[in-house]
Amino acid sequence: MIRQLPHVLRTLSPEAYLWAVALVVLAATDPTTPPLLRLCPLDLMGLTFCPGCGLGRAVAHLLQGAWAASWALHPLAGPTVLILGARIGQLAHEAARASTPSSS
Amino acid sequence: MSRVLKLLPELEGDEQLYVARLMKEMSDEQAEQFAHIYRQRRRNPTLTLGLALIGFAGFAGIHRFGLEQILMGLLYLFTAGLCFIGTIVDLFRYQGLTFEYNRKKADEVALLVARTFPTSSGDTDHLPPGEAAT
Repeated sequence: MIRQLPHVLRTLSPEAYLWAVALVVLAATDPTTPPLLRLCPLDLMGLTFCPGCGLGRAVAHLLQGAWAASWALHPLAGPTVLILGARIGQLAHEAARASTPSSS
Repeated sequence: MSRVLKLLPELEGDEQLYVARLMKEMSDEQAEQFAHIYRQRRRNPTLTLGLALIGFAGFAGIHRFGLEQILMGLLYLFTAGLCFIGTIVDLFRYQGLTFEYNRKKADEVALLVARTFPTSSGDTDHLPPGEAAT
């Protein structure tokens, strides 16, 4: 598995990198200050309601250990981290399997 | 490659190359059976694109359900596709997402065909298709 790592990293789907980078960035940002960049497409379109609103900040709180603040912003932060983690794992597993086609 | 074009002309790109590689190890009969079953089981990338577009109407993640990614489907559904960002990313990645699913199905069908329609000489990996029958 360790020997496969360079190959897995090369064949890993961009989707896995996207989720991983998103989680790392959220873990590193301070959710209590206003963002430098407004990224939310709904916000940019002027819409004020979205069922996912606050999810990013909630995940940031969660990754920094502020459970209560996270739950108050969006209760789905926990499932979000778990599901995205599972998806990264699934994609990594497939990349590893693709590097050894003879064993499948 | 000529077999893929003959039996599964609708395939393109990575999927075509992948299936061509699988078919190289099959006899003619196996390849025909494979094409038959695989055509039923594969997903059309255009369908993924269409289902992803429904995300902008409020029902995000239907395409993820269609590709048997139940958890990602639920996550998208309850967060409006991660506030549209996930939906937009999937619009760019719809071919890759569909190929990920189809590759799994192609492997399954290839295994099924190899077991159900064994060539008479057993392992024919290194034999041309004509010799496998004798």
